[in-house]
Amino acid sequence: MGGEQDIRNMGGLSKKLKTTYWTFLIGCIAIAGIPPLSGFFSKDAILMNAFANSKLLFSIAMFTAMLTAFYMFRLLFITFIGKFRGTQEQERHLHDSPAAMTIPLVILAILSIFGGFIGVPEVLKGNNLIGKFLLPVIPPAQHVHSLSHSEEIMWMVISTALMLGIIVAAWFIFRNYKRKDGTGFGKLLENKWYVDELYDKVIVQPLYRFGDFLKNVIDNKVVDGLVNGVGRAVNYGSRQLRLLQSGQVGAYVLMMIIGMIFIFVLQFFIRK
Amino acid sequence: MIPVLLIFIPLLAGVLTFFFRSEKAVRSWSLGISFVTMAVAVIGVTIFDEGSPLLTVNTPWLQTLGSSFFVRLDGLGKILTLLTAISFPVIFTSTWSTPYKRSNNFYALMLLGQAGLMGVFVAADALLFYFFWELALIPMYFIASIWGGEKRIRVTFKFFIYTFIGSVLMLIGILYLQSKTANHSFSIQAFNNLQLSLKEQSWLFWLFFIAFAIKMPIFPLHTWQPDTYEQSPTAATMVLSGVMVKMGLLGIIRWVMPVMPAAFHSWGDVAMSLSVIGIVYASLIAMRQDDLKRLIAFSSIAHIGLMNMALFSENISGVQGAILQMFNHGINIIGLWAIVEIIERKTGTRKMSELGGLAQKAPAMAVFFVVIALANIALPLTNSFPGEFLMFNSLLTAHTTRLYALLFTVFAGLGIILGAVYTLNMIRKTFYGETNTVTAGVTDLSLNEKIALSAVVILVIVIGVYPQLLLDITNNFSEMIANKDMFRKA
Repeated sequence: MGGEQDIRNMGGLSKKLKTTYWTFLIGCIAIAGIPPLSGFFSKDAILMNAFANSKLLFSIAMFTAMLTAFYMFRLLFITFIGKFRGTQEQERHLHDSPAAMTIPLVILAILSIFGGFIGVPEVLKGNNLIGKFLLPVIPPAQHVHSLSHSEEIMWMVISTALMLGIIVAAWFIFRNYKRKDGTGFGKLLENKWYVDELYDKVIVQPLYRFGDFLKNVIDNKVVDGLVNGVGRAVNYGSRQLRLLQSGQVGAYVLMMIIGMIFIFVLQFFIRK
Repeated sequence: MIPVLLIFIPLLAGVLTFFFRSEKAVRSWSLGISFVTMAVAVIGVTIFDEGSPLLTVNTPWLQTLGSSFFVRLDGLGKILTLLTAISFPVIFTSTWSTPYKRSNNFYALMLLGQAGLMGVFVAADALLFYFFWELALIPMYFIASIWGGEKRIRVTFKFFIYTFIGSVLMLIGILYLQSKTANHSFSIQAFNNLQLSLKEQSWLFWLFFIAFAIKMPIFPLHTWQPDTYEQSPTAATMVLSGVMVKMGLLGIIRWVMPVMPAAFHSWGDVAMSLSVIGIVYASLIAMRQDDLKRLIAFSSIAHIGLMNMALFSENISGVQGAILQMFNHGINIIGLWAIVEIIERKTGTRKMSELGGLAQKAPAMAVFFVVIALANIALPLTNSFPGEFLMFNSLLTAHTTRLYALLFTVFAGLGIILGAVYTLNMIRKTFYGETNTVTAGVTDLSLNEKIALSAVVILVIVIGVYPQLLLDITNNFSEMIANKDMFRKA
């Protein structure tokens, strides 16, 4: 794609980037949690344990799992389905990545298809290898209310159906994606809740201004000004004192006497 | 024998250098001498144990004054002489292609400065310490004022007056301490055995502390430093910031902590407050600098402030961390200066706003710079990390003896975050982004620069992974300072 990262300028890439498309598709199915790909088993384990402990946590986890399925397939459809929305120049140069990148992609895709079988739960007649492997480190959860097997299977079916529904919905919404700017809530999300802007206004800019103030005013004028002021004061003082050296012998004698009297008085006080 | 060699090799070689004629001969000779000195230092540090007679020399010198030529290499001295000995070859190699007018004088003064620094680090006699303190200062003053930038006269004059005032205050303190010793001696043992009242200790503490604080520098005595670093030729800046600021910290550890422990404790809160103000203050200013040299100068003020704080937290991990970090800071900042010097020589500017995209043109330079800059932020596995970790550990432990230690720690930690802000910003603005007319023609590092910077990066990583190498050297010394002397309240 020549450095392009904005999916709004892509579309229909499945025809040209075949390996990328298929591996990406497998990744999306796995992450959405469709059995029997790997994501299903891990998601299922988390959801079931959440269900056993707290219905609220379970609902939140379920909802975000649905969001995941939605945005992953949105990404897939906008990028690989529909018409290409980039420039003609870009369209002519579309091609898969070199083997150095596609081979790892294929390996990862295979792993995300079969990787889940190391943790098949008991209810599906699996032996949960990963659970046993982790046993020395993580003791088995002490369920307060353990799920019956029928309940567990029911939730697996429900969640899979929900995910498939979400994917179908995403297909209808995004298969003919056209570029348009977000409004309202969409705009808020497009700008990541404006958190970056908030940081910029509340922390970064004030800190920069404070830094400028320290640099230009405090350091240059106050601290360094004081230092240079001492130097100037010495200079000024010596210019004034220089005037005493006038060459008049009478003045020197006077000062000598004043000095002697001063020393006598000083001695008088110190002796006491 | 070793400490005498460390002083006299560069001293005599430096004097000889004045008589050289050919520029090429001067460079090779100075580099060769600096390698000889380094070899001696490495032998002294690695082979001999602390008690070895080869590491101590005590011969009569000015006997009528009570002063003797008493030098020795203890743990602290070993680390700092090693730093000095490693720095000079790195400096000479990395600035090999920088032209100097009358280069024989330049290199002669550099070697004399090295002799002075070695003397400061090994002197165990106060008058000798003072003598070397000035011997280190004066060559640097001449280098900065002859080979410096446009505003060099004004700036180096200020630098000289500033540090000289400090030296004189310290001299008064030294003379007073000598008059108090039993047999009017300047030796460090005689000073350590003094029993002074808290009042005496207090004003002595300030005489010494001001001298050392100017050198480090500690806020608000720092204004000579960014100007001097900016105006000096980079080789001198490397000596000043990499090695010379350590004179101040060494002064605190060797001449203040054991001699005036009660005042050290009771004035610690004030000294720590100044340091922590300096950390945040200098970091905020560094964040707003455009000139690379000034940015690094302010960053150095922040780092030195943290080392000073660690000393005042009065425990062994503070002393160990500060000594370790003195070494690391020297290595890292010399690496940073070397690259700034190369950038300036190739582009003619040090302003970040005029640079950018250097990574495309000079990838090797970018790699070296990023590694050293990350060490400047104290990323784990770089050399600064163990030092900083020990120092923060010491600050947190200090809250049992110091009321505000926790508060200080929080603000010092803020300085670390700001450090990451300005350092990463510096990398981004200088090396990333698009090239422009200034940076488009830049070529990558030459062989000598690669060698010098490789040495820096190797030290960064080796010490980052295995800091015990250096910690073992200073362990006995730090324990002695932290246990025996510091808590000996008057």
